[in-house]
Amino acid sequence: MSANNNLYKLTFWEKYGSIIKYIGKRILLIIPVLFTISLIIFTMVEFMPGDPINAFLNPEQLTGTVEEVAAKRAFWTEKLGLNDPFPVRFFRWWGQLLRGEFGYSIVKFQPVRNFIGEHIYNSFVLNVFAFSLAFAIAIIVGIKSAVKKHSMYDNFFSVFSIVGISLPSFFMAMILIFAFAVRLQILPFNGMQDPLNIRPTWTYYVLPITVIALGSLASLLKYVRNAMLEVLKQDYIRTARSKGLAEKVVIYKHAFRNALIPVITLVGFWIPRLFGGSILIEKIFIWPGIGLLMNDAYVQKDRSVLVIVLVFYALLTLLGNLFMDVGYSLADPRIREGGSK
Amino acid sequence: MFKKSLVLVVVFCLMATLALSGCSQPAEAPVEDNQASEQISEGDKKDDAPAEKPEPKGPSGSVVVGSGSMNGEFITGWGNSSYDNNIRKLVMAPELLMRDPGGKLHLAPYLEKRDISDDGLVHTFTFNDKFVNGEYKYTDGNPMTFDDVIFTFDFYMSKDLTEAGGSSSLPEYLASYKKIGDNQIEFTLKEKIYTTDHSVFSERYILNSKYYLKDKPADKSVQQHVKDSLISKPIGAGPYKIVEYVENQYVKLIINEDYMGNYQGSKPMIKDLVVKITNDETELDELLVGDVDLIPGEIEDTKIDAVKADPNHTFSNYPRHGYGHLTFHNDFEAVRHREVRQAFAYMMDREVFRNAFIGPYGISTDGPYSTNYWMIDENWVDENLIKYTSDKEKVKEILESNGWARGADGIYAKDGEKLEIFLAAGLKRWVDTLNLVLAPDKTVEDFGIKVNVEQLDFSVLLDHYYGKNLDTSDRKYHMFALATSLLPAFDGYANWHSDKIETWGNATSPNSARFSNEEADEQIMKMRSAQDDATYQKAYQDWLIVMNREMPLLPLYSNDYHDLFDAKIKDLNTSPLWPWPYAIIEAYVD
Repeated sequence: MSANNNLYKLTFWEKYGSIIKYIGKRILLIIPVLFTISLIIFTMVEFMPGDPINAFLNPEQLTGTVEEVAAKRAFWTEKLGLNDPFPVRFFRWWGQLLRGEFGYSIVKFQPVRNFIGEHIYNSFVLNVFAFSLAFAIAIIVGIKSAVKKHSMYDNFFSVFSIVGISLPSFFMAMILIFAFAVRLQILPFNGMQDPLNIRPTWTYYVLPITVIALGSLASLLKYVRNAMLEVLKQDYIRTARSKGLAEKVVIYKHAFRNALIPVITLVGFWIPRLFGGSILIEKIFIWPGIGLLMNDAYVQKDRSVLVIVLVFYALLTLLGNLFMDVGYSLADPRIREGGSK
Repeated sequence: MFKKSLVLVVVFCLMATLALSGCSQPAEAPVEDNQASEQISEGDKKDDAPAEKPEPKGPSGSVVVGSGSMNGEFITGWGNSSYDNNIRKLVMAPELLMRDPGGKLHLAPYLEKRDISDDGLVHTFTFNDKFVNGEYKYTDGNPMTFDDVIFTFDFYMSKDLTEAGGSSSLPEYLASYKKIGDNQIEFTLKEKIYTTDHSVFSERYILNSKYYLKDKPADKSVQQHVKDSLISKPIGAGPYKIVEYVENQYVKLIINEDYMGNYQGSKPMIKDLVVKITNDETELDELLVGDVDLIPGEIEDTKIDAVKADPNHTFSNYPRHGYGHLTFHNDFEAVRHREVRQAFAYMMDREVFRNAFIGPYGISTDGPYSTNYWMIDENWVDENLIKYTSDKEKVKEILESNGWARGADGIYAKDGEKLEIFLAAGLKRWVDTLNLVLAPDKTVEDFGIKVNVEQLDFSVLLDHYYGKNLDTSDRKYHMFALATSLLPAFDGYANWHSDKIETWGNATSPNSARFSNEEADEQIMKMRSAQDDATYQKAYQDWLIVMNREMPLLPLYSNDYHDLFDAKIKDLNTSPLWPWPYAIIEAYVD
């Protein structure tokens, strides 16, 4: 019998019990919070000024005698359930939501669930590339900046971060469009694919991904650099250096791995954001994501779409917080111990 | 060190921006012909010299048209997006009566003749032999049949259309229809109205019944089935057929080789057509670099001037068939008096407003009319209508001769009513421009009328405008800033007859200006019952004289629309009643 077999083996529950309990508790907390948020959103949209029938009726519906016009309005008021009191409508909406129905779009004349998935997917595709790119660059540049603190390299990217954070994304988008679509004419202005099949589809992804990545990169870069600087100040780094380890080993084996912990926590927070689009970016690049959908729904007073998109954003924020807290609790068990008391 | 780098980065960014900007074309370059804001009814071209038209060897080339956002409702009956309507015009099977560039209607190529009974109620269409023999085909190969014509009218007459979220005004006009013999269909109207042809037989595209009924579930009406499954996939017999529709992106079309031709038998010569969604910010650059070949209906002077300055692009312009306006609620407080409305029209400096709001490309009319209507022309307008221009003395004369007198606050009053007018507008741009012209201090001092411009959410504005869902005590606004597009044929009954006014607060009033005038009603009914063009024209002109005098609505501007396009497109002759989906049939790519 080997010595290893004599070691006490932790059961699964002993090993992961506290974290599972912590996550379970946080998920349970999400439900009432989401319900409350949905009530607030539903109420705000419900009391948005204006008669939804006016926004909805085809002007051709207004032809006919006064009585016919009134009958048409009554028909649609009934059909859309607008005669029912507010609480009835709210709980009916929740009932539909639990059955996987998200209401009916009065602009697209079809159930919201028929098209919302595609919009979420389109935003996801854009964001997953943009955020991956931003993270990859931020880690490489951030570490080097921290190691070469106050060098020309570090200063350049520090200024880059400040400029990147300060520049509005739509402005950056317009500058890039001007440079690459108008002047150099090597990238398309907008859209997702070329109807005439002249330009490859990937070229349509370049500008929106670059704008989102640049916007995220600026703040990520600062975050990674600061995390790395914090680690480099620690005693164990000094110890490693005093042991005569090569600088590369100190940086990449000891410092880098520890600096990654808070960064990975941040990744958890960003995961849900992959599914949420940006209204401005999607509008400028005519990218049919969730942001563009929300913009159109607001402009056209398409209430069902507006409510479900806002609730979706609220859910993403809650999930983002959950992932971040779970990340922290994994990195620092004291958090979940405190949380489970 | 840090400061040094900061300066370096900033200098680099500035240099990069300047380097890129330095190569750009001037956005507001002075142009030779930037005064083209006068009315040009037939469309004006950049090059006056007629281009020699080479004989095209057959359909070729491609054109990308910029468009606003489409909803994908490409079958008539749902939605009211003009961008969707463009696609319908391109793909649907020709209606019984087809429009020409002047707005007149002609028999479709598959018809031999139409007979109208003496009372004007029974219209009998005789179909030609090719139609009877099934030689006209839809783009899926199905022949056009009499069943399709009957199916089309059944489709739009049925209440199932409303149940499916659609709408049609057809039941208002049509009593019955049936096939007679081997080659005729007879339509019986409820009443003879001068504009019947437009309301009943034009833009009622013939539907391909076999296609629409093919996979219809038993528990659904055909209208519901079309709406749920086929609304973005129409199969027609128009000049083009849809190859691909990508929602929120574009519609790709290809020429229909079997197209029967338009009202004069013309067939398209451009092979591929793409209608691509563009945005306001980049559409001009997309046109100038060649990503887009045509931007229809442009109104911004900076974009128009940039195209005029570019030798590789040209344009076609025409006055808008409609106007932006201030509508009075003609039954409410002080503005129910004609002299008050007239005084307002003499107070408002519409030229200042127009220049600030739309720039140099536009005109202002003096009544609810469009200069595109054949019933009037510039000479008639000049000779018969009052010209309302800002005039202090005229305001004073009109009001004081009708018993109004300035109070201590400088505002005119009469019998306890003060000339304090509340004006509702939906957009901030409207509010800002109106305040520029109607600043309360200035209007009180100069004219004795106080105008309060308020911004409302558009749907709230409509509630007040239509008089719906509000208590009488909530009624506040005397005027509304809106824009209206007119139909090709004018029938004033729905919007201007006193029969169409409902009590404010109870129901939507189709006569939303709430204008009641016996003389105007009489002329509207004369127009409706006219049996010939001359009677209709006379009644229209008489009606317009009343409306110009009574001033129930003050038009502020009619844009001078510019269709901007690549000079490679030849013979694209658009006009107010002949938009690009019609005109593209006669055009070709050089």
